[in-house]
Amino acid sequence: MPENDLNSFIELMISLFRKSDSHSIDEETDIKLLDEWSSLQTMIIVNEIDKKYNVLLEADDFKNSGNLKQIFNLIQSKMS
Amino acid sequence: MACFSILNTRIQGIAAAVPKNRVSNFNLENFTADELEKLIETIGIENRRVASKDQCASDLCVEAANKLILDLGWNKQDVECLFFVTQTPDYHLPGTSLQIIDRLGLSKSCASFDINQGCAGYVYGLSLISSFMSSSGLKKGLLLVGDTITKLVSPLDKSLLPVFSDCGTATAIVFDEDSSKMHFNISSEGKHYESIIVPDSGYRNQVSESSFNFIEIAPGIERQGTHLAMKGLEVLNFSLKKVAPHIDELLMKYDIDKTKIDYIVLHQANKLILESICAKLDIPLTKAPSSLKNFGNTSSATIPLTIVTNAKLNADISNSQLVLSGFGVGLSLGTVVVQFNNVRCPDLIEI
Repeated sequence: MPENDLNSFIELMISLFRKSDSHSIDEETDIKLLDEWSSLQTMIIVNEIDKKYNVLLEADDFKNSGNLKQIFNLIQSKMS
Repeated sequence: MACFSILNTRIQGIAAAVPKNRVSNFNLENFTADELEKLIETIGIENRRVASKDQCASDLCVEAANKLILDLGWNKQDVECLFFVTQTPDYHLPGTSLQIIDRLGLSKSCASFDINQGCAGYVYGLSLISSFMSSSGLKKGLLLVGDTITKLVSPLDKSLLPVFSDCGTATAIVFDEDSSKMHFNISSEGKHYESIIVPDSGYRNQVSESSFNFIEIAPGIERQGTHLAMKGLEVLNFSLKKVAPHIDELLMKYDIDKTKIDYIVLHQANKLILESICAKLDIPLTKAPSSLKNFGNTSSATIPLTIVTNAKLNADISNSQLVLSGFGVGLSLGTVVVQFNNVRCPDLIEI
């Protein structure tokens, strides 16, 4: 999956949440508001983003991002 | 980064002692079944060992040292130096290593030192005792490394409670002019000292009445000022970003072929971190023994504990070339490349 493809990023995020949460995930989702959001879940997400994009997100990156599209754009900016 | 080699010393044996009290993460309260499944799958920790109220890190280390001395057939009067690495000493004052000399029945002329270090503490301690013995010519020394870190964890902290565990270890070092060099890389990032900290534990923030108020950090995480606090994401990022280059730098500096490394024993932070670091190093997990499943993160003791608990499964570990790498509180990094030559590892002690 290409690294600059928003859809593949959303698919990655969906794969990291359980079914109850993942049904509702799209680019407008603020994952901090999902039931499964926790320090453990953040660790899993950061690790997977590092594996795929070689970008390490910090706590403030999540705080300052309202939805997944913004996180994706942040990743892209850190890649360049 | 400080890369250096130490001549004339080798590890003769390693022993470890854990508390009998076994706590299962499957029985954790305040977690749903789904949360528990994901937690255990991610951190790789099913069981932990928790010291009793009266059990200190020094007690575990003394047991390990006694067993090791017996196993090696050492005369206690021949031990000329002892280094004790811990972040959970018996007292802030006096240092614990001096009591240990007495409790072990070692000679009063045995030189002893207390080192305040955690996750990288085994490698820091190994570098100190090896260089001390190499330069002085002292023939036998003991490196005791251990923590009862569970005593610092808030019972209301869902993020740290499932991770930490207790252990004490002893490593026997001997002067040997025929030994292979040990190659070290030691470094730190002190500006991140607050990433892992007990805030009200010294004289910067002295313990006061308010230190004992529980503060909600996040849902499911309440801590007092006297409890261990960790910025999980900062520590994760540090581990993912710094550890693999730190190890690679050492291997390159001394022209060591990574494929010739038999085992890499990493600080047992959690499964996710271990697997990610191995992937970055392009080292297969079969070369990275772990003790996480049954013993969790035992702070400074994870590396020697992992060697001891895997010595039977991987019998060749006693005669192999290893990379040992610790990383964490400080923040600090310590890596050593060491050749094991008939290193004895008596069975794990449970007390």
